[in-house]
Amino acid sequence: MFPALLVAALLSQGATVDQPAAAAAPVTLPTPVNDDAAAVPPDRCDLPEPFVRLHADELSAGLGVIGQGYTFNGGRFGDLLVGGIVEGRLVWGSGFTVDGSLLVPVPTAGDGASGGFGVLARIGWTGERWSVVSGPSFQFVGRARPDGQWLPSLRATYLFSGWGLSAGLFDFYATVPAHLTLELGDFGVGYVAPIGALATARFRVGRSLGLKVGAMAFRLFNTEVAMVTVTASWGRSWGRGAP
Amino acid sequence: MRFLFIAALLASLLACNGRPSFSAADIDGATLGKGLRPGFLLGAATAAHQVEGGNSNDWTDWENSAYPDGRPHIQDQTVSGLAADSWNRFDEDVVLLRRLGANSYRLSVEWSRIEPEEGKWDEAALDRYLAWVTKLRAAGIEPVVTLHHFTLPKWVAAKGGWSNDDILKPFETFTVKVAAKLGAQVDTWCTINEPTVIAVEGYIDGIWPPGHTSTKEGAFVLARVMEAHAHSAAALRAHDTIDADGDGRATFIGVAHHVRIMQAATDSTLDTVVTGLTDDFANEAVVRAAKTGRIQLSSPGDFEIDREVPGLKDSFDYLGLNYYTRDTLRANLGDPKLSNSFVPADRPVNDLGWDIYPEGLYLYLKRFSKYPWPIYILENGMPDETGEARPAFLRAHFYALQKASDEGVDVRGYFHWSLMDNFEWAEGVTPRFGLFRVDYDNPARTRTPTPAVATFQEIARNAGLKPLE
Repeated sequence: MFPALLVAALLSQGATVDQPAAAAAPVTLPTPVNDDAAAVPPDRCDLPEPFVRLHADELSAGLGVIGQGYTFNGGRFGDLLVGGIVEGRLVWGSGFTVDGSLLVPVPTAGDGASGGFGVLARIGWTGERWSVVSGPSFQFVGRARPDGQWLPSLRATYLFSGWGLSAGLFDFYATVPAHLTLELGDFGVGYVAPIGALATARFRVGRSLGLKVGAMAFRLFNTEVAMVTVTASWGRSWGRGAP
Repeated sequence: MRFLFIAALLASLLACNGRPSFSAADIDGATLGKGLRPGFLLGAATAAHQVEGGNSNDWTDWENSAYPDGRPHIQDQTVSGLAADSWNRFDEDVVLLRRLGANSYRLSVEWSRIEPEEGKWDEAALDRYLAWVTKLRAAGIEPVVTLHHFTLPKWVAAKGGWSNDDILKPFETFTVKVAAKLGAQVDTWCTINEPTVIAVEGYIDGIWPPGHTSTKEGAFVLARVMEAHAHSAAALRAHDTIDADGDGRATFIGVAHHVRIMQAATDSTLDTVVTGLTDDFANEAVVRAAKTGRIQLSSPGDFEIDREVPGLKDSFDYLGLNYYTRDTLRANLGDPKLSNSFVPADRPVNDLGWDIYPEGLYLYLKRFSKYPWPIYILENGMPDETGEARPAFLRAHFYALQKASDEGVDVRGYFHWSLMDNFEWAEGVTPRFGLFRVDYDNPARTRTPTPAVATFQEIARNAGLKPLE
């Protein structure tokens, strides 16, 4: 299963996750996250800024609450699910990127939408100011007919000076049909088509640990979907982009 | 602001998640039928083509033909034929109603029998219908008459049926004829049975005549059916001016709107969106049109209908609901309906595999109580070969109705589908919906009570009615 492979791959790189060498070096530059930067000498005055890719390796796990339903004259009919989340990203030295997530929602009430799992597996490239990943999402729900559902998924990000833009299709666990998000450091605020919004925030807890919070809600025709996620993240280092 | 928006939407979604779940103890402990509104109509329903026998219309042509690949149109390869022979045994049917303790009977008049050729009226057929409704009223049974219950005269079908506007004037003329003939005995009219079902089964799924498969055509058909209803309602008001029961009104008009709970199969956004669109088309479009006077139907990238229909806005005096089941939907964008409908494996089902979900009746009574009309459940029932499951079905669904009524919903009637076994359209005579079982092997079409008759009688007694001993 893809997320499991992703976790295994991250763990296999664990020897570098808490490498003290970079932190011990007498520099104040952002810690390089790529092997390309490893050769930078410790004298900052005459050196070009090291090549730092937009994103870095990261693994997150947490919980999400999903509310979904449709509206009619003066009312709404919907379901509430609580889900476990595992997501991660691997960025190789060449910039090749693998990005994936696993969402396992469980309904909070019987007689409604059924739970299963959804896997998002995307590959792409990450540069200094940009990143593009795309791939399929697959949802499996044993009680559903058919039990599997495939959707395409895409996210593209570009970093300007001090701020970035990202756009996605069936992004965020394949839940958000289309979004355009402004990224400012550790925070992101976005528009979800046709009527909706999303917000993300990352709070740094330690050098490699963080807490990520996301919330989004949108309306499409007479359908309304809302989701809140809280995950703990663990990464070799922070990249330059927003969560 | 966006954070507030997200928080508000999430909070509202969290708040709406509560769903009723009826326990057997609650249902068994209830005194069903007690405390209903004065004047509550408790009865059973049938449709002409399904019980009369001897009809000749677009459906009889359909029954005797097959799909291009050779499959029969009727699954069990039966035809309506003699059906329950109610055309010749109506007096027996009145006795059945009296045995139940019913104070109302919903029946339909057969357009093809009354006007077999355009402009040629069968006065004898009209006289027989008049005799029926007169007999019902004399027996203390309020007749609720449906003008169109799925079948069309062959000459109407030959002009395209519901596919074009040529049907509007003939249906209005037919309404005038029936209103003038039966108006002295009938106040409560149902112009059209299940407008969305006409559109879906005949023009989108193609499993009923005329067998078309176009979502766009189905939408235009639904719009035309609602326009026909508006014309028919105006004609009834103009030509039935006699108050048959002395309650101060000569006409009381609505449609029988088929509703189904639409449940998204999963948390998938695609499933949710498709379920929402389906709900809007199947459950909401008809009542919204009647409330606003505008027909609004659309499918992204395919069609958009948004037009005002004169007379539609004030055409309902009541809202009739036909409730049977729940659909669980999984997106399938390659299907004309955009989804697969199925029943999860662990759900209780009836003989046709329909989800038995009595809570849905309660949910829809609450939902449609926000519209400005009193509600009548004009159909509710189940196919049950042995008849053993129907008592529990009837009790659970009547419990749902009574619970909604106790909570203030203005529900004024319940009609069980059906009084007796009948020809169940594309499924043929195999599904047994009747409170009374019909022996199709016997030319006399003998009617035998099923166990649910006793359940119905118990409800009737609690409601102050007196079943015939």
